[in-house]
Amino acid sequence: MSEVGSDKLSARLHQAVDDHPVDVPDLLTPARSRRRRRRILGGTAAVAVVVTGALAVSQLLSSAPRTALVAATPSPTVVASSAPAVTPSPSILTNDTIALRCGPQMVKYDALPQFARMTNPWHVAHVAHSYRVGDIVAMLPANQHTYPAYCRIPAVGHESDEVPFAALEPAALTALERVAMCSESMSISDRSVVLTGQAEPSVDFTTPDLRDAGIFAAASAGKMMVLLLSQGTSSYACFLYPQPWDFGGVSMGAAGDTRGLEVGLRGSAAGAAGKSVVPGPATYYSAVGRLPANARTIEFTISKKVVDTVTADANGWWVAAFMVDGRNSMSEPSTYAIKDAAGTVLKSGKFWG
Amino acid sequence: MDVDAEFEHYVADSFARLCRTGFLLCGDWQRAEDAAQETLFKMHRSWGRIARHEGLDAYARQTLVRTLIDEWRRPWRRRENVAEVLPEASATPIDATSQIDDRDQLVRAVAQLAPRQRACVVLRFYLDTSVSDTATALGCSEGNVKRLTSDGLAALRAALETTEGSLT
Repeated sequence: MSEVGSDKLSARLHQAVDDHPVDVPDLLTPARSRRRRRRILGGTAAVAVVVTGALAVSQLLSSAPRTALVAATPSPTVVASSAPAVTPSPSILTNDTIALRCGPQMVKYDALPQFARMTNPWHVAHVAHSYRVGDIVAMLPANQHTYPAYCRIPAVGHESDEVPFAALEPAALTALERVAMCSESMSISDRSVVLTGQAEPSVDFTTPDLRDAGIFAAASAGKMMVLLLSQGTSSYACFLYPQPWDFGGVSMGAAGDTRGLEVGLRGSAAGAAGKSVVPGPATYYSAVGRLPANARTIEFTISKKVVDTVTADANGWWVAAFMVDGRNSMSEPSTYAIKDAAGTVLKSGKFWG
Repeated sequence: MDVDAEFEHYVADSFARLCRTGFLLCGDWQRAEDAAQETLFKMHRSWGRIARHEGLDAYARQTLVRTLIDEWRRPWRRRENVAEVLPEASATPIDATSQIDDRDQLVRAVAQLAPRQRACVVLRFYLDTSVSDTATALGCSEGNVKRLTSDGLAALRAALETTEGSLT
């Protein structure tokens, strides 16, 4: 490019953004707070651990559980216990027993970069839940308390039986196991750093046992699956991905009654050697929401091409999952349009780009 | 000036610039502000060591770019609330992408570049950063920066020439 061209581009870039108003926040207080926490927690909360979380970025969910989709207030109903769950039933395993039996299954996580620097022994995340042989249980390594790995509890004598990651992929699970995986992944961070969207390196696993929740809506794209669950009067949104994906795993959160939508994007231009274990270029979109009473469908477009249209249930709930294979489309213009039963657009907007 | 006051002064001086640079890098103001904040938080951790370093801005650039590069691999969510009942709108479907002005076109064209091409173009032509400093920020060689910049400009020209003619 000639100097003239360079100057023109430079001027146009400045014109494009320099008059955008930017409010300077108070960063000193949260910066001090973060530094204090880092000192307390030590340096073990590796970046790789943060990457593991299916929802490392959720700056819009200030007081919500770490992975909440629709704004909600944390409502843990199970009281934490520092002691392992012990019950009179012989079929219910103690947490110590589970840790012992699951040890061999945890070894495979060592190979994943996002689980690097974790140390044995692993322990049960939800200490107040009860588990039996065959249950899927969330496990945490000794040196961090953020994102869990998962074990299918083996029977005695089968501790060394291989349980590959493929066996925990959404499509390989039964409906009950999917719900269990969602329930096990749930955690609360009441100390989330909303300002930056970074997940706190410490979360609270004193969440309700949702393994008997019902699935009332589901969608899938590729190996990704999105579920809406209900238990009693509460609703939950859950996102299931293959464990090895660097943005993968599971995330789960309470879904409030607010009418709205939330779109999640997980893009990968390519698997970065030695860092990423995403299988290839692709962009995954997951979305859930609750449409206004007079709306019926929501339509998504990427680069002006309709990629998905979903219909809400009688209460307005909807769930969507779609993917763009072969490229990272996160920077492409993406829109949604909310329509009524006659197809009239009631509202539209960009969700990206 | 004490350490805290120095940090606050630097935030006041640099935050908008970091946000605007971040926006050109990622195409989203919310993410740009998050990345700018994260950059400054990271700097605060070692503020006592770096505060008086003459390369402070270069350090901020590098941290911002790397924060956003990390961010490109992370999940992202966007939430919007709507009313309980929406008012009836025009029967004509609304095209949310139709109201794009020239500035949007440039920003969109920049956003279509590959991430590292985009970073080179933004650092070189928005921040007026040297090839050497751009290479440091991206953690690559100067030759790579030259190639990425050249490729990025070519792609930018191609994206824009159909609507407004060449940049040159």
